[in-house]
Amino acid sequence: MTEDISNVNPPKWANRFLEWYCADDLLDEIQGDLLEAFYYRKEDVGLRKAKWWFIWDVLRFFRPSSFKSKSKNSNQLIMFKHNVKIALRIIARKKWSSFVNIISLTLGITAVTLIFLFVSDELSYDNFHQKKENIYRLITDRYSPDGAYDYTDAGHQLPLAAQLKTDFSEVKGITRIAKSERYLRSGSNSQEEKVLLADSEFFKLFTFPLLLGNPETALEFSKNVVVSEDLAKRYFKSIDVIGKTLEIRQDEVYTQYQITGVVKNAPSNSTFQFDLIMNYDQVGYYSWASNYWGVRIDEVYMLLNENVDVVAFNDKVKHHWKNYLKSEVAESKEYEGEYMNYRVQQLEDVHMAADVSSSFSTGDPMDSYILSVIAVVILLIGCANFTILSIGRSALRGKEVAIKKVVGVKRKQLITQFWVEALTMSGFAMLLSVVLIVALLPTFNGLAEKNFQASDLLDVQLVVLLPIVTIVTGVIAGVYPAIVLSGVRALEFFKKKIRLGGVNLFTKSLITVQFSLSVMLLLGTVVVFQQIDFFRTKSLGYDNSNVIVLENTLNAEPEKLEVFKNVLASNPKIEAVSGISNSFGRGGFGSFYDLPDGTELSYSVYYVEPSFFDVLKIDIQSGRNFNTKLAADSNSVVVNQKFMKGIEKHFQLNDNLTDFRNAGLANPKVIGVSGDFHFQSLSSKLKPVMLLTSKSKKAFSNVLIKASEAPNSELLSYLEDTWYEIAPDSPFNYAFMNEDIEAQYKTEQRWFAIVKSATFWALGLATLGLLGIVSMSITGRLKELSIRKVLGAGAIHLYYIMGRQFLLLLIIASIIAIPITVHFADDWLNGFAYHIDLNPLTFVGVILLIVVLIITIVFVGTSKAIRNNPVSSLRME
Amino acid sequence: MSQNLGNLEETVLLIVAVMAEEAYGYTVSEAYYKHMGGRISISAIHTVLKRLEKKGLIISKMGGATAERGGRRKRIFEVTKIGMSTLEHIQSNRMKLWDLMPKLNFSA
Repeated sequence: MTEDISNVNPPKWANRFLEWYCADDLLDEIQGDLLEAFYYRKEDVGLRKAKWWFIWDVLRFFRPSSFKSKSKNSNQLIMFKHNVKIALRIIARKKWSSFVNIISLTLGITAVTLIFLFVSDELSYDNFHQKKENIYRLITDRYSPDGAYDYTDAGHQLPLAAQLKTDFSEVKGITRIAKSERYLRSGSNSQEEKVLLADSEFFKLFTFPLLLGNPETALEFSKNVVVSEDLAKRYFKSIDVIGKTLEIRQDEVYTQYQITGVVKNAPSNSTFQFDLIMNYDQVGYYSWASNYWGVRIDEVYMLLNENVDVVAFNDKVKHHWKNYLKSEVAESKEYEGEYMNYRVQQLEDVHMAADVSSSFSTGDPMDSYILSVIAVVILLIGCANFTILSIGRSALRGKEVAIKKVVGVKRKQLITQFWVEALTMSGFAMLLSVVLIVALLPTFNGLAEKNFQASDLLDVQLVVLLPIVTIVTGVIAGVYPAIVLSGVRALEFFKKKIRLGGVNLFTKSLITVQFSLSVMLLLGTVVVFQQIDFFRTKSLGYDNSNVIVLENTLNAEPEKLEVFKNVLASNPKIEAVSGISNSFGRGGFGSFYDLPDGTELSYSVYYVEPSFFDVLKIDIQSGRNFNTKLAADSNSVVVNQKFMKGIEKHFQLNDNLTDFRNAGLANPKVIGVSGDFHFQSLSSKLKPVMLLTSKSKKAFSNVLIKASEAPNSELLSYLEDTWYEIAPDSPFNYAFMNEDIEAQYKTEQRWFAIVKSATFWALGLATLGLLGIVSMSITGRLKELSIRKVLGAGAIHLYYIMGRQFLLLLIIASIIAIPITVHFADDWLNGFAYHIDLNPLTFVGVILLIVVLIITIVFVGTSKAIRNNPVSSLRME
Repeated sequence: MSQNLGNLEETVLLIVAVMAEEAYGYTVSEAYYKHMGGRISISAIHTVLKRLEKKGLIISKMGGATAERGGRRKRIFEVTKIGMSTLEHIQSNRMKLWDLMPKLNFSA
């Protein structure tokens, strides 16, 4: 046995690895010692252990002190050091253009990094669920009668989930999910919290770890709730809250619920955001619908068995509804093609499914695309600046290249040199952009509606990404100098056969591209701004100033609301008060009226009080207002002009609308016609409206209060005190109507902010680049300018000579940019029913602005040279 | 001139000084194991030896090759005069301190 072992050698690969890295003069002692150790050890501790020991030792010796010295193969290292040194010297010597270069690259890297943060966060939604691969959402594709695809939604009837689990063995677990808001009471003040309604299998599907409580049973029993860590801390100052009770307001009364679990706060990249999880079945709110197949409320998520073929499963669920939805089956007979199809959608796709209507907030992949394009554009503008400046400087570098070539430097080495230079600069830019990113994070969070922390920058992905972006940036920025400058032929250069530097065609095209992008972004900003301004200033047909919107939490006790209104009537600062089914911008409901000629009129319904017209200053153009004293008025309606127009062929004022059955009305009488008003956002067309008085005050979810002047804190606390005096158990929750209305344009406001910042960056970069190139080109033309001056050219003329080429480029850029902008702006504007028209004056204005900018830059960049004594530059050589 | 010697350096220096056979990486590491009980890797021994040589406490020369070593030569270390006197210096300092130890006997 020993005979065998004595001939065994240590692992070959390890030995070879040692020979590869180890310096030759150290190999004797190191390898010798290790082999000797192995030789004796294999007898002592056994072959296996000795081999491991050997490998371990080889790895331990893998350190710089044992490495092959680079001196034998040192060219590369020395050249690298040399190149970095030259790069640093050039940065130090050409401070201004290096500054421009580094800032340009910094802005580019920063933009890309920030937007990467956004996009990767968007893509990471719901990926923390361990069973995400097998969790699906049931969605419905709906079709039009003519067979065309109509839309997709995610709402389902309440009994469906249980039925699916019975009908399909593939379904391992299933839960209905809906979100809602509930008032929670602790002590005397009540607060609204985000509630998730779910079934008991919720925790079986989703990875929301319970800190306390049993996930299997937490949602099983009646009147049990699971609270978030955050909520527990807010209400109880501790997370040890199992068994404690919470008062939750539901159906107008507070009910006690027992806490059976504490769940870790949902991560920010979770589709479900909640403070509280309640069980669907216990939520009396929906009990009327729990066995009713007529209304769609919740979303259904299911966990499928691991081996389920999703394509086959989709085929099976496709027409599942036909067994249960009788009226839909009847209706579908009149459809040419499909009526509707169920299909499952993977959990990870839920966040980006902007095309599926859902009550959960989803991201729009469009946001990610547009932002990525903006990031790349900014990065490219930054790199373009670098290239333009490199070309501008190349006259100087040409001499260096030519001499190096004469001395015998190879082209490859020159290419390396220029790339190392670019990379050095982008390395500096990376350091700066880390600072910039941290500084910009709060602003960026606002724009992107995210909540990134500076500590997120240490994220593994980002720590890897930042250097990669930096290297890519450096490589892109260095392409031109590396390829073109390194190709300079020394002889031709010395013979002055080639002219380097200044403004060549390539530079000109780069500048033109920069100008075009600047013009596009600037025009875009102006158009978005004008549209938002239009939203803000367009007359809506009613007056929402000084209107306070209260949430009517007194639905169960309408008599208290009456008392409240009577008390307010005595306050001179309050002009009028009216209940309303939904304040504008807060939903509402609509319906269709089948006119006698068979056509449909789509309209919206609002329950109001007679004072509604005073609160919102809407005129009754003909007919009369409601009169609460007339019993007949409970079957009367006031319609807006648009509605009247829709029915005028069949009915006139004071007619009864025949065959009208809706909202508890039967053939109601039209007693008045009001002016039109935009109760929806201006992106939707003005709609016919029917106003009616409510038989029961329960129909009001909001109360509108018109104050005679801008509501101040005194008035608000008066309202709150009065409210709580009358209804101490009902939460007081107010908002301002004009803010509600503005909130409808949040998306547009956000895009305005994004486009504005992008423009600011792009324009800033283009300005920097232009400033750089102007001062470059003046150095090349100093002599020319001096001679012109000597011959009597005025300063204005010289500015003109220097600036005209850039103005020409601007004209070309505008010719490219304007049609593109018009195309996109038209597209965007056409998404709104009411929008501004593109005004040619806007375009002229924007271009004039850039002209002024260019003139200023040319002036700043050249005035020093032009004001110089021509002699000094003519005597240069 | 007092050489700053780490604990491990001092031990290894001492081992080189007392070793009867040739002192090189592998034998020093074995001797360390034999005398001190613990294991340190050969690479650590090499580092310490190199450091001691740099400080002038030991010198090295290339020795002969053996079959066990795969035909590789040894780097053999010997303690220099300075190394010896440093060891003595340390030892005498220690002894002075030991002499100051109260010679009391509590066992009774």
